Amino acid sequence: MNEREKMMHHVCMHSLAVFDVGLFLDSHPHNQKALQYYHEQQKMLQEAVRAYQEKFGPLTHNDVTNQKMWNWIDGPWPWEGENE
Amino acid sequence: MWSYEKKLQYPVHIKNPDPAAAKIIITQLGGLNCKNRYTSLKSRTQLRPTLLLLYSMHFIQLLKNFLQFL
Repeated sequence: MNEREKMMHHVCMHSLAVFDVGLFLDSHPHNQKALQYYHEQQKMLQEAVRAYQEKFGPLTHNDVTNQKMWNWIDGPWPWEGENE
Repeated sequence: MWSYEKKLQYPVHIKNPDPAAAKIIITQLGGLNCKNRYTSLKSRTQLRPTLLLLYSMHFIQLLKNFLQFL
């Protein structure tokens, strides 16, 4: 995997962890272990997203920081470049 | 309400692409002007046609990968 894929993999990893433990917490709101895990993963997710966006551009519509052009439309998009 | 993230939820690698089956599946999800397509794409309520096409390709790619588990 190249660097972009590696960093994207980290983002996806922590994002899935946050999402999944969030679903569990929906039905177990007082589970301390799960809550702790959620906060750990949330922190790591924020860091991974920040690092990725710094290098490769925005991941969501609300995270465009480029002042010169709307680089949201720049590729590659998630369905591109898979079968190399 | 919905926001688009430029990433997939799971890593995806297609070993044997099956566009014929993908074509059948996408017909069940609705054509270009179908209302169901908007809700199934989890898209913003107002999308320009080009962006909508981009996002739908994303969805098709996801579908193609589910096919390898069938």
